[in-house]
Amino acid sequence: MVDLSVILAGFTDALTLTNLLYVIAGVIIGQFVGAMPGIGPVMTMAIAVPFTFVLDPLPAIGFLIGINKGGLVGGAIPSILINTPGTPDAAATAIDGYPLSKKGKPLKALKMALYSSVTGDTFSDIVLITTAAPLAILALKMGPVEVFALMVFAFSLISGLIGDSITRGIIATAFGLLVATVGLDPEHSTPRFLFGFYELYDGFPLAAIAIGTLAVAEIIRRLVSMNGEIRPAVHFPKNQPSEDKCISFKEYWSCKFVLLRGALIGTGIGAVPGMGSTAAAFMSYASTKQSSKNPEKFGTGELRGIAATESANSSVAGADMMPLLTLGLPGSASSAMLIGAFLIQGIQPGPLLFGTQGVLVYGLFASMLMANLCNFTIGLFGLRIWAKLITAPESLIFSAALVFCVVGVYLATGGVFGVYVMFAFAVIGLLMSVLNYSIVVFIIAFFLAPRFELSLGQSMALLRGDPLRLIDHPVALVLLCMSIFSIYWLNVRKKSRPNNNMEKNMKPKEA
Amino acid sequence: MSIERLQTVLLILGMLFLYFVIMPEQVDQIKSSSIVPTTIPSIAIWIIIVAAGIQFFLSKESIEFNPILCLRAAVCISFIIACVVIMKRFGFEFGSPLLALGIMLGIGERRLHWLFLGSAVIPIGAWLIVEQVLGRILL
Repeated sequence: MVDLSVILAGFTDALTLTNLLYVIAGVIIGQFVGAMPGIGPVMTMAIAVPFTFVLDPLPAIGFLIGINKGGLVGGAIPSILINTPGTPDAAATAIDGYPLSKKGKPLKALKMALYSSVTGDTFSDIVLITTAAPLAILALKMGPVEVFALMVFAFSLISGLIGDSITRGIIATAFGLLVATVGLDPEHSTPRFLFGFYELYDGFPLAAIAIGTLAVAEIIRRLVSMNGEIRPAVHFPKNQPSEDKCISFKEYWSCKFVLLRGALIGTGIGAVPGMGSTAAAFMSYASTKQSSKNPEKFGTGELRGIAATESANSSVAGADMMPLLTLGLPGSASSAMLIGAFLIQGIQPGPLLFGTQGVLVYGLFASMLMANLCNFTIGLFGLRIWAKLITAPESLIFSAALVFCVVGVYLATGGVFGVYVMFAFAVIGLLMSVLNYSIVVFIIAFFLAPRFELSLGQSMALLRGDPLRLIDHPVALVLLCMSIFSIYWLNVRKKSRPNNNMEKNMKPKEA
Repeated sequence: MSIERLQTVLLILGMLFLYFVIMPEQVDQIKSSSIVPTTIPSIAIWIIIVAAGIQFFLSKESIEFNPILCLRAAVCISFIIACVVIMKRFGFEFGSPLLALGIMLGIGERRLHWLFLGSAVIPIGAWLIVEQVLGRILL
């Protein structure tokens, strides 16, 4: 077990003023970008990763976690006020949030979203803190063969769960592995696919790939499809009675089971790589509506609808860190960004992290709890400000984001070559999104590829090239069988598509 | 042939070209080990070829192709690359305002105060912070 002194040291490190300021800055930026439709926390994290290079590991990761958590709260604001989700996971919030806002109670809807989001997030963080160390101890018992099989299983899940088509998911995964082979081969140190560019000896820079595919490609995609439309102005009704703009404890407490269900669904889904917070929000909403005595009220501004979606989508954030910290497997775009930040700091996430960097891990947990508190406080006072900022021109946001992308990649890669790589991958990212290949799957595979190659090499050495020796590794064998089964099952599930119409059927009703 | 099938065929041909023409040139051929430099690239390429083959026969997806949007994207990317070249040649403080201004005008922004803020204050602010405060050289 982890020594209590390590836990206390971690919490002490996190409670320094410097760390607190970075977490606050991250939450403010996260809420702001979450509230701006089209920007989102993932793009912002991608842009911010190179800037964290100059920071110590804990403030750097705390800052990025602040952005991620802030984005989850911010995403609900435009969903509720203008029926345009700031982030995809807030789409379900619009179902009841927007009708409540149209009823003249926008602040009430926003506050319910904030309270539910912080409740769900804190729940999943507590689950993470209490279960991560035992899971890591379990993970440490795995040898290279088991790690390799686990990565194959993770790839099969991610390929199958993210995106619409399983073959496209597999192609995106394989493409990520292929791109990651550029540079020196880890086994023999011979160059691969350099094409005369000696800058590629260390492979494609992580920051350039992440920013190019996730941020620049998205900016260009939105730039070319813009039609100069100006978002509607947001006005809060004046002289409202307090029950129309506040959530009483009685109202909050009446949603306790809805919040708990949402948090449990979100935590469960977040722990599985590839599932994502959007699915959690819609599943929680559907199950709350199904179990309600008055399902007809849902879609007309029901507080329980907002509580269900926001508690679920926010609780994914904490649980998402479980596979990242215990196995080193990122399950979503935001955790892929975090793994990028860890790698930039020279830290390899995985079960060994609890032994070698225990203080950092517990500092990280403390930062997550601090981020929740900051999210609540900043959200409470900042809701009106973010609501005003929704109407800021996109031209300013996108041009500034592009300038920061160039600056960030230049600083991270130390030359203009990285900037050209970023634009090359922006074009690849654009093509992938036009052709419906998942960029998130590609990025996750790219980040995991070096470890995958290493564990394959070690496994081959241990098995002496004989696959029949896998019988001596039953856990690995089970994981490989599960990979094949999951590909088959997810393919069948995608073909039958039982849940596909769920999101389409859940349109907000006009109040 | 639909765009969906065309892109799949192009993907397969591209991977075959990579495997048979580019890989032998760009990756050293070592045969003394259980895992060689070509192992992972070969696995990835063949996975893509097989998956694309399955996709060719079974996929029912349709891809929406908008040539005007593609043209706009090409113009946008060319403009951005040109601005980066200008940054490299004349300095970040000259290229970045041009990049921001072009993007803002392209989106349709015509209000002077926003144009000034986006194309002058933010890029020059970034330059001042990085070069003057942090002491790092930008492009």
